[in-house]
Amino acid sequence: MLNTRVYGSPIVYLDNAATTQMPYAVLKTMEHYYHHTHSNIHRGVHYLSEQSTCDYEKARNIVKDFMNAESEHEVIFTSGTTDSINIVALAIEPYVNEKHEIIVTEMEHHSNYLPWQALCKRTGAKFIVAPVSVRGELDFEELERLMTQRTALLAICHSSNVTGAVNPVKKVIECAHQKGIPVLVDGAQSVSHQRVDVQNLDCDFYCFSGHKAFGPTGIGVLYGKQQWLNQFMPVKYGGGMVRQIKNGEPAYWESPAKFEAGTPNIAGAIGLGAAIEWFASLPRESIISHELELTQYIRSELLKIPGITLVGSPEEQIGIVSFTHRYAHPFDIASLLDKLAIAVRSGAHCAQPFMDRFGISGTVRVSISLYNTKEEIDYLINGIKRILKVVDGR
Amino acid sequence: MTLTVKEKLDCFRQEFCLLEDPFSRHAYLIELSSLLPPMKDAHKSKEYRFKGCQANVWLLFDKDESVFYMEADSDSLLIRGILYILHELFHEQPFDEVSSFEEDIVDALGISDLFTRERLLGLTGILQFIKSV
Repeated sequence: MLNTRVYGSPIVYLDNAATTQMPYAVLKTMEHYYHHTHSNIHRGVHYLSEQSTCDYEKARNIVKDFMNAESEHEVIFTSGTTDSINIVALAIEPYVNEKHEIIVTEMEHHSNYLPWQALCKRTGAKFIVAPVSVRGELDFEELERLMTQRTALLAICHSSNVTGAVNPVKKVIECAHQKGIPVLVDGAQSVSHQRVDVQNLDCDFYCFSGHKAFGPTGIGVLYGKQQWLNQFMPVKYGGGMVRQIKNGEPAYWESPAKFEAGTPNIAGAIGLGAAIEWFASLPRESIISHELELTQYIRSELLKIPGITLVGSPEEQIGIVSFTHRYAHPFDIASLLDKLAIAVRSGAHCAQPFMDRFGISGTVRVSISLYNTKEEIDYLINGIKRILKVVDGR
Repeated sequence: MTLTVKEKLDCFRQEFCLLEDPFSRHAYLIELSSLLPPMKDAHKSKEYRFKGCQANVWLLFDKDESVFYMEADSDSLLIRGILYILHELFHEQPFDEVSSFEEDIVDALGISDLFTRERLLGLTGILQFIKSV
């Protein structure tokens, strides 16, 4: 894909926060599945079904090891981060009432905002949005103050999808647990940039999507501590999740089957397993330092361009940089960059509360991955300068 | 002599034809954006805001017995460029001509490749809105 040419030029793909590209190993694995073992899992007694089941469960084990989950029972395949968060928001509903509060932060993606707001509307619980600072970082002291005995759950992103700001989730979780509050971490932006160790973080739930971690679309992961998953009722009902129905009464399998009703995205899960296996085999420290170097380079080069303002200046940041220009609309900049074969994203990035906090309607977002180069960033910066020349020359 | 909408569209078509690559066509729209007559600030209100675009777009249409009037603005220069073309085509044109104009402007100008499918829907919405007045 990265060799694709658009408008006659090689693509410079800088929209990795939306979707990362898949390595050949993933494509090959999925192609093999469709060519040789495609069949339904778990309930078949024939060879293909057994093979698919093995591959599907192997993928779960790869994810388990990657996140350092205690058991494969804690790893549920979903359709993506949004699905994972919605599952928890529905499953926890019987434990939430009008005396409770749910806390999210101002930097959440709508996927980690709307399900909780809807839960509060259904149950009468109070919906609280913890503020972020002018640097685009979590206001930890304020969050600490907001967490009380009434808090039923805290939902927080590991990293912002607008600024790349990394939240001190371990510290937040420690503080929340001291007050008996469970924490859900939206790790959609983090898994391809940071090490994720759910036991070390001690989070109650952790969610991410395959397509932001070098895997296919339509597959994601919900990690949940067994203590929660064991007590939760299923939120979707159908085949594969029920052990038996005796006298009309169902008895459900334990997690993860309990939460995977119906035929799952088998190829997607196997593809995600291959993606994680590939990613985990790479020298992680070099990748982190390469991405950090590129991110700092983007920031410093953008700051040299008159009229550009960076949105947020977090101390710790993954490879996402957002900016605005004093009179060129983000839509104009992104549209013109596209015509130079540079893929970036413009708009509110499904983070309207964050935009409101900064009094802006949108940004241009540049998001890198391990395969991006300094030369590509130079091409981006030159492209932006060329666009601003057009804008200035009106 | 006043040109018809079709004749004006042909003029724009010829100008866009001279621009070979998509970047130049986009740059030309930005150039055109500065020619759009200013909209009164009071008209840049919620009432005249057109929904469906990533950028803010304000559209105000009026008509008397036989003439169509249009005022428009956007905080996006590209959209302003498009609005300038629409203004040039339709403003102060006979109302019957505006409402009966059937040609696909995006296709006629050869600028469909300038916008993504979602943005084209926004532009089509503006055109339908004009014709519905």
